[in-house]
Amino acid sequence: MNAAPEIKVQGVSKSFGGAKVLDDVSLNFLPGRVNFIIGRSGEGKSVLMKIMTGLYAPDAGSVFYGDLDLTRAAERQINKLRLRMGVLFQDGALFDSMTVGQNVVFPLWVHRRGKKAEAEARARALLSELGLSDFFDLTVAALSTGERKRVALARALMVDPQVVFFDEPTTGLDPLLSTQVDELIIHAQKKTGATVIVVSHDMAATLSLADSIFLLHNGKIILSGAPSEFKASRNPEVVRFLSGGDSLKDAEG
Amino acid sequence: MNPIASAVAGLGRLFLNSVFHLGRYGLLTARALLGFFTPPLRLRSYFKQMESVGVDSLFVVILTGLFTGGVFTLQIIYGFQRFSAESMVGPTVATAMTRELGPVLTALMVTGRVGSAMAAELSAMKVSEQMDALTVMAADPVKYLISPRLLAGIIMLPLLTAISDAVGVVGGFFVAVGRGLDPGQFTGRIVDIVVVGDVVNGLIKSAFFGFIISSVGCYMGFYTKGGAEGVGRSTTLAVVISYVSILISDFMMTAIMF
Repeated sequence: MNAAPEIKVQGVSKSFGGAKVLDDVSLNFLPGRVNFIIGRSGEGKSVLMKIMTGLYAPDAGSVFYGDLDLTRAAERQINKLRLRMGVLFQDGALFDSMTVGQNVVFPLWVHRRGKKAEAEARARALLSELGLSDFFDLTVAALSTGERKRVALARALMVDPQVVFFDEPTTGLDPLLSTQVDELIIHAQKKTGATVIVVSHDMAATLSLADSIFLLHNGKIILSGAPSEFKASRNPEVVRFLSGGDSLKDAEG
Repeated sequence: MNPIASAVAGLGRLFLNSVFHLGRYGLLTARALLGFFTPPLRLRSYFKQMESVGVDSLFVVILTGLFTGGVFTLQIIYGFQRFSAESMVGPTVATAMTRELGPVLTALMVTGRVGSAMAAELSAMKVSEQMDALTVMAADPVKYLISPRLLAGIIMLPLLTAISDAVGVVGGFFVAVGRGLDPGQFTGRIVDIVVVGDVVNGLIKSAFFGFIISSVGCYMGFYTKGGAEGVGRSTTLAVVISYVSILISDFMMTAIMF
């Protein structure tokens, strides 16, 4: 367990080729809790996540981890922060040229942190916790989608993270695998005490897992709060999003 | 817009685009070169790339060298025999191989095998977010992925070229002997006529070709955009740009060196 820093997004804007994807977005994430950023496809959820991990620079605004402004920090400071950050990308982003074990050990190996035998033992223990006991020497190509996500989570947990990001973790998965991934999110939070930030449009998972939800629409946060506040909201966009309704009209519009 | 203004605008866009890519290529290459000297050095990654560029290309380079030496001998031996200059066949083959054919053909073969693979591999890593994964693990993708490939190209191309040179002369020898030339006639004057500078300059050229192959392949892969189509486009462009750059730089270096 570790003390997760308070994460604040302040006035973040981002455009691509003249199209404004994020427009003056401000968010406060509950430390050590499960936070969901939701919104329809193309609303800029993943862009926001990439800004929060320092992969994209915003056109305006700041992202604070405690007192550190990620958008203005030196590369060395950002990397120091990243040593305690876990990110689970949409398709896992495992390294194809490595075995499962090498993938999981990688975050420690690449910075020469700890002894090799200890890192491998930790990786085996994490894989075992995630139901992948015999997978250490397998190639990544041999894994199913769900297994890839679990290996990616093991890799993210190797650094004992203070914050863990999940980018659309259930996209393209069947209901059984989706449930499995939901369990992984809870597992990650309970195991590390980290702040968990999930980018998703899976409403069932959001309402059952989230401590705090942020709805992104047309580049702005139109509602933030606990699941109960979302269920009680009369905002037409929120109602439409929660019910999943008007999808054909949306697609046409 | 009238046609002249449109043409000028097109040329302007092309110029700005070229400057943008050249600047970005220069910065990426400089970062990769700096990566050689920034700890921690991951020697295993360097050796792995050297194996991929060098050892794995050995077969195709030997085959190319052997047949190039052979066919070059076939082309010249008839004319040389007509002028009773048989003793010049060996030195001519050796000079051509060390100065020109060895470095250039080895570079072209390695471009097809390794340059394209580098572009494809890095492109695939880019579109599947593996490079983003490296970045968020505080591992610099340039140092981790590009520096080893760049050094492998610079070191292994001269070694492959040296092998190609030697094998080419051997190929020429067998063809010449098969065409009735005395073995001693073929080898006798090679040492007198081929000077160390021929070999060394050829190897320097090949080191530069290795730099071009790796840096262009990595640049195209590193800045890939747009899914599977982007991977294909980057791979093709890496090969085409490397081929053209090798041939142009070969002309310029040859004009300066020899």
